[in-house]
Amino acid sequence: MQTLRYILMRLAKAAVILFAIVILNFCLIHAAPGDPAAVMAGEAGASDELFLQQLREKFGLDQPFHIQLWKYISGLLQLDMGYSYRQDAPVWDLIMDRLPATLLLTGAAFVLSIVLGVVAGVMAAVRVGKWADTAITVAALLLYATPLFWVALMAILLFSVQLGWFPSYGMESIGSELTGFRYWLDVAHHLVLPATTLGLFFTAIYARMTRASFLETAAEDFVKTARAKGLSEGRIARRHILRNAILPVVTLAGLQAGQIVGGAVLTETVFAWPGIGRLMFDALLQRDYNVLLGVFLISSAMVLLFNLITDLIYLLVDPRIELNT
Amino acid sequence: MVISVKDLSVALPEGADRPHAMTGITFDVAAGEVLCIVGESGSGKSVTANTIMNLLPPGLTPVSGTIEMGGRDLLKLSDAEKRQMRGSEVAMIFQEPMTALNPLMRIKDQIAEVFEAHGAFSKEEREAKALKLVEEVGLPDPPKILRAYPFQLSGGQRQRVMIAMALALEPKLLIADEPTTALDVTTQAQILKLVRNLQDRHGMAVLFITHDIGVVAEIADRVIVMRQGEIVEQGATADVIGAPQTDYTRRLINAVPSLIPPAPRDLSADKVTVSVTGLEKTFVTSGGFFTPKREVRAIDKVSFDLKRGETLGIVGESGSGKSTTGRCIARLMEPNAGEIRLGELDWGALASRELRAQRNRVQMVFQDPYASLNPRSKIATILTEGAVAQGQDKQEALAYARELLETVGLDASSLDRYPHEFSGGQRQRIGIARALMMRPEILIADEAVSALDVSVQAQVLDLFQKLREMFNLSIIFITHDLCVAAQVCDRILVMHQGGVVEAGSTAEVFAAPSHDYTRSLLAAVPGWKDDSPLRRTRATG
Repeated sequence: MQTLRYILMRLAKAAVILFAIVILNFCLIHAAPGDPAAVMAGEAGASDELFLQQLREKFGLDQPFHIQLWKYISGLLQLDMGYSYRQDAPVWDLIMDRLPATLLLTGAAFVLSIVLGVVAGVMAAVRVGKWADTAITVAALLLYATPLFWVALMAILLFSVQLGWFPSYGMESIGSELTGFRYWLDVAHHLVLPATTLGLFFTAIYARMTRASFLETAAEDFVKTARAKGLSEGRIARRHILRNAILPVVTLAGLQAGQIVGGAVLTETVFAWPGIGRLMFDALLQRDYNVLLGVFLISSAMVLLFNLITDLIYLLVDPRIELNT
Repeated sequence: MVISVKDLSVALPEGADRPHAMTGITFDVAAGEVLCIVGESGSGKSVTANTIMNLLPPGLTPVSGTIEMGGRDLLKLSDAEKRQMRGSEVAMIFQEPMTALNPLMRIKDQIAEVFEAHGAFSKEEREAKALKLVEEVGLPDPPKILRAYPFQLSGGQRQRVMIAMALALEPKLLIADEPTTALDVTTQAQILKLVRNLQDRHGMAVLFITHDIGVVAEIADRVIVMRQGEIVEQGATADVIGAPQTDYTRRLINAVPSLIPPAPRDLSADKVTVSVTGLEKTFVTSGGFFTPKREVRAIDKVSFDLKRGETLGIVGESGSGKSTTGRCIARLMEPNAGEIRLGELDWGALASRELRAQRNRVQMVFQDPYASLNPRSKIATILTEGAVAQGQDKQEALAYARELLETVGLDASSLDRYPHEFSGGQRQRIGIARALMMRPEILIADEAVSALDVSVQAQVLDLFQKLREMFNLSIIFITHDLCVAAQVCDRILVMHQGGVVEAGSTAEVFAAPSHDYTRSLLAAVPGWKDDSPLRRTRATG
């Protein structure tokens, strides 16, 4: 009951924050030089003043700023995110069309980085000072320091071009018309490279953090108590050290989860993954205001949602945390 | 004999200040006996305990000797045998009950784990056994305790849980490593009594590690005195404490602050510098496990006067409001009601700007010498910062800092060093010098010697006396330790649950306590019963 009240309160707060974000985004986008009409006219090769005027009228860009803002917000309140004249489709449809691909990619990367990162971190910590620890630490540092796009390009060169193991772009084989299980296998095959590339950076962070946190926890008094009880080392590591050491990792995972919608622009671009990231990138170049605002709004909402979920998970894993309603 | 340790030596890693953590240690413990190992930090007493338990930290290795128990040498066991031995034949409890339990596991799971580790009993039996253990160690409402998490229990309750866990498989030997050091005096007395009772009932051998001769006098049958890794003296408690054979033991005994206060000083001619009337402070807490949401009267109508050159002791257990009182007087915390006057000045009513200009008049010395000095600042900065903020010239301040360092017994060259280069006692001296830099009239020492070893404690107490005379200071000495209070305070204020239950000259309060609570506090001080060898030795000097 108290938890429910807490969740409702957090959601109410989130709505207020979201409203502020919408206004801020709207202001920022309109502050950027150029508008959709100018871009479209430029591409058409016609910079005729009259043509521009007509386009602006059609898009509603000729109206005063505050009227535009008001129209956008009242649209949102009716769950209408606007219309993309550029792509000739409602923004909501565009986003929903792309969202599953992005969620699949970032979700896979998220799970991969947590599992791999925590396992690597624990392995390094229990072998602290030995060669396995050094190898993991160095690998993590390398991954942490290398730019994502470079890793992506090198992965394509090695695994697609040289070895031919994985496809280098897209989400499915074009024209294969596979169905059911074979289709999903095909998607999974396409997913390997982008998901791994995207996940490696966070894998490195999780590994480093898990290792440090594990070592710190291993020096705590209650671990000595566990040893004095006669528990085996494996059990001490699992039940006593890891459970306590995982808490900071949860915080970080919450941060990563918040990026689940907007955080894959680079990867999607390099691997031509048909997700939100590329939609946003194209919309940015074309000054497609409504699409941009829509993507921003969905991303922000996800950050807020995952913050709430992280806090609720904390409540489950750490009994010392109390709800503050 | 339950356990026989012969000629045990443990090597320290290379580069340590001495080659061995301890050498040539030989002793036995019999069933039904309490053997105390007493010594200061670094004496090797904890290493001895951890060697028996096979829980030495990495880097420390036993190099010679045997530990015989049940016909086996514990040092020669395989890893699996060592695990089997821990918890079932030898059990251990530790110094810090606050951190010795896993914060994320319920008490019942932590107790049941001992059975699980040794494959004892079925799941239902384990729960029933855990309930019985929790009852046996005298915890209130056992079913509730079993469901609780450690953070919902007090320090004393957690130590009882530790003891319950240690008793789970009826070990032949219980090792207690400073189990009462972190507890206040009445809780300590309860835990000591509990250990004694349990031992009578179960007939196990107890190896009790402590730095406190008072605790030794209270609980030990026999005692071993250790110093720098070697046994200095051993024998029956009454003999060792009643008639110490070595200088070191005598020094340890004399370093224990005596419960017998020195002759009172005549202060009737001195002026009152601080006068506190009707001080109150209320905190509102969110609900805990055993307590619903409530208001806590941290201090309730506290009134007293303090004269120039006088030391007032505020004594009480944790939660009695003694520290809150100190903080309110230093204006680090705002009281809800009451008046604080410094001479004619209405100190409690000063607005922040005026207060800042006069802050130097009341200074504090804090409990933890490790946490109360900024580790990133040099001593010079730590000492002069306040004075410079008050408008003093930097060079002048440095010169005074040098002078003060020598006054508190440190070298003037310390100015260029960082806090971590000093020992706990030295840091506390720096903390005192920092307070004196402001040329205060009133010094508030909040548990200023509680974190120090006894011999260092005695030196710092002497320093307080010396400084009081040099600077004609009024000192408010906040402590949970009645012995410390007896040594330095002219008058005593006993606080209990926020209120003052007794006030009077130290001699009067100790000789004829009028309040039950004061009497129970005095009775809880370990080792000072009427016929105890400690009292006799100290009385004869």
